[in-house]
Amino acid sequence: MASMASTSTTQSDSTPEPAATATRSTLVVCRHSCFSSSLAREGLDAILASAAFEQPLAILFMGDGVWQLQKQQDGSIVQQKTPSNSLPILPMYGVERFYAQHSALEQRGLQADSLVLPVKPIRDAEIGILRQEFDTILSF
Amino acid sequence: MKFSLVVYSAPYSSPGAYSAYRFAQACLQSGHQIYRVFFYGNGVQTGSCLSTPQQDEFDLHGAWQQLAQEHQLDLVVCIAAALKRGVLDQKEQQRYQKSAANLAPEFELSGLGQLADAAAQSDRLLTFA
Repeated sequence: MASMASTSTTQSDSTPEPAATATRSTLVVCRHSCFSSSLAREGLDAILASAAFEQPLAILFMGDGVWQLQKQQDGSIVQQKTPSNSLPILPMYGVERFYAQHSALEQRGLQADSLVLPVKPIRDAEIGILRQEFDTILSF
Repeated sequence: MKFSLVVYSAPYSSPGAYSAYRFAQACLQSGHQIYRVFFYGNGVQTGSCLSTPQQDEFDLHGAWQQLAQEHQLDLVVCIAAALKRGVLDQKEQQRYQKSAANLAPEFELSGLGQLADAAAQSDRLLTFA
């Protein structure tokens, strides 16, 4: 498990203090492309919030979710923010483990070495093994 | 076991909205605890008290209200997702000078920290899209 960098965070008035003793590791599964659903953007916001709570996190891009990794996307022409632009900052929040479903990359003609973020391609049979490492799965 | 549910689908828009309610009901009937239900994305619509289903349709909003009252459930609606979709409590109505507030009293607007907390504190976290 990658070690978590300690981050100083400001929390909004409405969020409670996190319980000091509870640490659960979470695998976040991203299944939607940047502009096909609000879940891509909203998933990223949730990842940033979870990372600020210093909970161990890893991200798996599956199916159409691998499109989030494609370079040079620009949502401004459809009046949307571009989630893929924010992905490279995740390591600064202590999120260091990124996986992408190998078959999904291949089907979409995406090369693992030319994405916005370095990811570890993972075969379908290995996904089940990966999931077992984590206490919680959060799917977007 | 302590469960938390995350609901992304709006009532009447996709099956996950109703499944989440049925799961919550079954969960409680089986003697488990529900730590939190977090409504995110389009799921925030569940919190609107203006929901007016047809006579022969299931009143999902009302069902959540009743379940919440019976079991003192913590129903949290993500504030950022709610505001942009037009689900506001009185505080936000005043803050943004809007013509109405529509968040039902059993629901509470709060931040994503509540989702992170639910993930950290629950034995199981389920998402309903």
